[in-house]
Amino acid sequence: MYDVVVIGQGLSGMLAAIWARGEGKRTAMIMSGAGKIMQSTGVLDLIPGSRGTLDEWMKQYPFHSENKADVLQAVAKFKALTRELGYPYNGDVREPVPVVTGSGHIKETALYPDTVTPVPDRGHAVVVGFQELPDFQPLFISKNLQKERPLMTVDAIRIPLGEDSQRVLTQLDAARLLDQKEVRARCLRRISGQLADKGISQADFFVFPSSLGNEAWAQTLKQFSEGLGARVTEAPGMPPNATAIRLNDRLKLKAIRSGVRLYADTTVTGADIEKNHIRSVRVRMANRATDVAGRQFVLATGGILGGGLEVTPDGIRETALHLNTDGDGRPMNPPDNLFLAGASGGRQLTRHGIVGGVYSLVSSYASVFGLRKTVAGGMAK
Amino acid sequence: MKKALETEVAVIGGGVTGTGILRDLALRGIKAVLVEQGDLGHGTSTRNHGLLHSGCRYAVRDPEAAVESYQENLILKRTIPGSIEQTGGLFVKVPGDDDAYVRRWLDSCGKLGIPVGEIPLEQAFREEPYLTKEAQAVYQVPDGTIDDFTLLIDVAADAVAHGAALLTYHEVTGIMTEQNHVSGIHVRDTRNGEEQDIYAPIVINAAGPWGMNIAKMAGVPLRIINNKGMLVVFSHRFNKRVINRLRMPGDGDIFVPAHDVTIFGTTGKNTDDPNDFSLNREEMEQMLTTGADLIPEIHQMRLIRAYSGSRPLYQKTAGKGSSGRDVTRGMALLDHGERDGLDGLITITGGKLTTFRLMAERTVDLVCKKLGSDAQCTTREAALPSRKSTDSFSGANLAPAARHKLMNWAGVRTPEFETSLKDREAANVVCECEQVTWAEIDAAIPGDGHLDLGDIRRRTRLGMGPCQGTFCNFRTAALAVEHGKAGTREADCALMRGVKERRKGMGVVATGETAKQLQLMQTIYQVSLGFGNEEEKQHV
Amino acid sequence: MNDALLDLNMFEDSYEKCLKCNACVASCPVTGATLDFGGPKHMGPELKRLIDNQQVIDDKRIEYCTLCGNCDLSCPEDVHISTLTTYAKAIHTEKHGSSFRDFVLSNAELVGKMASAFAPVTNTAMKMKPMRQVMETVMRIPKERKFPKYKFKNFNRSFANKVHGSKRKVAYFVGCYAMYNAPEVAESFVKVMNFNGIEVVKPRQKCCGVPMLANGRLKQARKNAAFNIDSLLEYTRKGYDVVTTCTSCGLALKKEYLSIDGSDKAKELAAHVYDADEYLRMLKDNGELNTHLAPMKQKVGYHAPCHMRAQGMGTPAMDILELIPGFNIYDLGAGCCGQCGTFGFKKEKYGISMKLGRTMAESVKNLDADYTVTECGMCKNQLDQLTDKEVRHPMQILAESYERAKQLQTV
Repeated sequence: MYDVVVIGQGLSGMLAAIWARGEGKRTAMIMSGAGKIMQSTGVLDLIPGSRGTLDEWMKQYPFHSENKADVLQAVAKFKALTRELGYPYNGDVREPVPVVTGSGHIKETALYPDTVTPVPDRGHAVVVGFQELPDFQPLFISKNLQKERPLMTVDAIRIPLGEDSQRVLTQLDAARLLDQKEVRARCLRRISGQLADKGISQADFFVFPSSLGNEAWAQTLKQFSEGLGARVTEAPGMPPNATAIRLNDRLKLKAIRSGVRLYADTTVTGADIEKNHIRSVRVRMANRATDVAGRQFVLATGGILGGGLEVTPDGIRETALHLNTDGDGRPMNPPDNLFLAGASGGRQLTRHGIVGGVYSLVSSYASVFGLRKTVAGGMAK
Repeated sequence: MKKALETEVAVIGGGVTGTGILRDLALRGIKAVLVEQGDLGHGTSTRNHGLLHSGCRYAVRDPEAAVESYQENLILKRTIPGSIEQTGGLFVKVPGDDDAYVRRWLDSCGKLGIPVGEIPLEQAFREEPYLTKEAQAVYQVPDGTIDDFTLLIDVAADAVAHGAALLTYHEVTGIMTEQNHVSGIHVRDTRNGEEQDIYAPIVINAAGPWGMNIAKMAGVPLRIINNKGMLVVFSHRFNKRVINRLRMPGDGDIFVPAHDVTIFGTTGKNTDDPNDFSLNREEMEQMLTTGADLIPEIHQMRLIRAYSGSRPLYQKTAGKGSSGRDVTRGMALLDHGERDGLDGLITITGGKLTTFRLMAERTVDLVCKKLGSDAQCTTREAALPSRKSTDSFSGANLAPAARHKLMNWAGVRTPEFETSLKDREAANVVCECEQVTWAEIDAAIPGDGHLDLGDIRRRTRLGMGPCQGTFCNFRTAALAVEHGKAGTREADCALMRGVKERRKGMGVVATGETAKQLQLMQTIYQVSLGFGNEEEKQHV
Repeated sequence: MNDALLDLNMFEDSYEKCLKCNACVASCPVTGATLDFGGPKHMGPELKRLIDNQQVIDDKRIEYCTLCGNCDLSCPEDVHISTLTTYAKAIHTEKHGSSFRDFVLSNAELVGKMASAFAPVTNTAMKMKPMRQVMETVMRIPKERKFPKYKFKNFNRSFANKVHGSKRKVAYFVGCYAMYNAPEVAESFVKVMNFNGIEVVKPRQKCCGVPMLANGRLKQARKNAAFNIDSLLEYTRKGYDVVTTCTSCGLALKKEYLSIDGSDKAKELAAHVYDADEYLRMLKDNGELNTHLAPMKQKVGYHAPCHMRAQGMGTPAMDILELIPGFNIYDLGAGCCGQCGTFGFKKEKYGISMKLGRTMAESVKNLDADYTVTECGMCKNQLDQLTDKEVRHPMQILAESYERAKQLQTV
């Protein structure tokens, strides 16, 4: 019997599990595969794909304005956690900042790790690409950035990472290469060489793929900013982004080491619900099913993208507990000990397919600590 | 000043019919220019099954079309080996299908000389594990599959190699006439608006579903029924051979393997607008329900997209109320001089992908008669080069799957790719689903500043797999800028256009995994890459 | 396609659910360690899709796949990636044949029988430098690599069940490692079961086939699977539960047989298979577990084997061991050990194996526990190689705790 059973291991699920465990609860996390942090950019947006203030966000999502203090507390708790994980996040949800993406376009985000630096309005930027990395093309990116920042001077250079490979590299592969000191030094030399060739001397902002080291991101960041004498940012885009993988891996390790019991490679296929109260969930293992009992349950299975909701020819279906939902997949009259975190609350919460990192963390926080007016919980009206 | 050029024959329409005619003309030494409003095959020719008929399907209903198909089947296997896979086909009788029809069918195939052989059920189930276990009889026939994309490219290339000219992205704006004779066509470049006159004593209307528009410009009456069929693409190739239902041809009874996917169709609904490529979920569901009789798991299998195309069916009498299936699928060759008193204009319509060569032969025979030429058709024997190459690309650092694809794709261009692939970056696989390298994509970009992901797709299979370009469309657009093949604005536009087009085809089939794939695509482009703002800005 | 390859047909179309999301690529330990591997997405689902109903494509990069199954663990769409890479391995081996070394390594059972018969000689020889130099030169087995010891008194000789006619009965699938290298694990298991009043029998069995699959010998693995399925079904049909102490054997019986054998019998068997800790946890949940466990005041690091995690049963070893009073067990969370069965015994993979094991070694060092516990014999081998802590199987600890409790009672 667990105190808290979390279903799902995306951002919402992992935060809920870690926080519940941190409160001394016996916690299980049941997951069918990696969560969607893996495909994300690792920066936490307010309203995905568009701009907006915290007040607008609170109106768009089902929050009451008096919850603002709770929202800020949830954010503070998240930031404290990331510091503890050795991968600190910056930013203020009240003041989203512009960051450059892997296409060169600018988007607003609320929370971002140390490897991401907000993009300035002016100055001299250089976009640095790696020849072996098709997902990040510096010329294309620099021109789009130039369009977005007319007052800025934007250049592009391209250097080889110079390691033999038998496959096409991803941003994560490049990040792992940059974990090695000698690769970093070699890259810096090549960048300097290219800058000299192109006669660029005044650059004060360098844009890199989301590849500035995986384990050794801090050293990479330091070595690159010092070596180039400029601010440095990752521009996350095509998955896998190292920005996101670092967060994913650290959260997962934290969950395991703090004693959250992981049920990996399983699927929740239903629940034993009595008088609108869940006693246990049915879990499909490799060869048979078993029941996992708990006092509280957090549904963090995601929306359509995460697999918590499935689009069928007859409409949207909730996949894990087979709850009755409305047309948006929003559970109707959910069990009293079930809390909905992240996109599992229905399609009306998503923008371009996702809820955005800030909603994830706030709803996870709510599912563990509760808010003055339950915002996530069994409700989300 | 307006551009002008002079030729003997102007061919309107860059589908298989038009390009087939262009090649036949060129091989007979007749000067010709083909104009196409979009890319080659942007109409019906790339919106079909890709079935190389053995004739069996028409053996009962239309023996003449059946025998034509069978003969062409044999010719094409020999002359266009690069675009044909000799898969063979199966005709399957399931419970409820008419026994009398089976007898008539066997009888007719026998009379027509189409080789048909029954195979043991056990063997059929072993070879085609998805086939319904309810099947009562399975016959093997010489069906095959045609890659209409490579077919068009190769036929057009051969025509150009023999002196013909090709103008894609040119629409016809008018037909020039002098007294009772056509004298040429007015065309407009759809990309830059430039106009041009093409003077030609003979104009061939091979515009397929758009044929009526051409006739109207020329002022001749023509009634073509555009019978729109919907097809769906499964995420993988689940059958080795073509699987047909052994009954009177109807909706939803053919499964055609096409490289790495299976295509299933089709429906038939008449439409007035040749540009109507709309897709209907209900129509698809009905088709799938029928298809389940042959492939019971059909509702659980992943569909990656749907598309539709119109069969241009000629109707002699311009009467209404025809359903489409009962109008002849045979070809119609109209001499508007004889028929309507406008000499030099010829319409060729109807027919099938399998009989495109024969249509070209008959059309050009008529042209020769008009031009007083005695040049003979050679396309029965003249073969296009194969697309296979052996022992190649060993110098390139290529993934075996990408090499495998190139060995079945590069054909005569093998030396060209052997050279370009020496560059490590060119050997990078950009489209993972279909294993398309940058070298292939690079070679498919025209280099005149125009970038169209659809055009690249038809030439390379880029973005045709299960992820529908989620990853490779972005890579391609960005690489095109990096390599100086396109400007940023062009690339961004091409990308948005490409993503929108893929989304359209996915939308109608978007349940289960494809719904997820669509959301993943949307999230990556709109949120991760920040194109969301871009779209907002464009709307403002 | 020639007939030999046709025999390899595997009806496995879970790849059609792949969204190309790269979760497996980002989670694959080998992909993280070397750029020579093609990555699980390509070598598994992507390749099988391009092959089905077309020509086979042989890709030698598949040699780097360890079949650890982390790809399956990470896949949100439930694509059976490691089954698909197993198929790619089979194609590759079918086309190129097995090297003598891979043939030997994949024959764990035969080697076990032989080595055990001459155990003192084998063990001494494996420690002799000239012998190892020859092995490295001839067989490309790195001389630095530690080998598990072989026991003359293997479990075939030492098996002693003391409970008869119990309600619950266990058919023990021993596996090659506990049979020939670590009979003490098998003996502990029998004791633990007997302490719970459960009869244990040892059915006729062959190697589960996992080492063969890892070396592309699919046909041989299929033969072994068919033998084991028939042999074990005789017992399950009489009411026995099949229990394993090796997590790779467990995974094979529960999951792999369903794809490589694919018969209804494989399915029937799978439903009766338990990991030893999982079995005890089930007894506990049913209130049947003997909880007379003597306190053991120890701090212990737990290494979760990949093939344990792939069974999707949580972490039963921790669930059970934490019942011992005073026992403090911590999950190292270290991921893949890098030994990966036969993989780490290969010269050309040794560097990768060491690189993969680094995280685990560091975790062990940082935790600085009294000893390490893990279920998998191969993980133990790597732990022995890379750490200086003793490594024990959960059954050894439980047997000790039960025995002490018994002594305390009798005193």
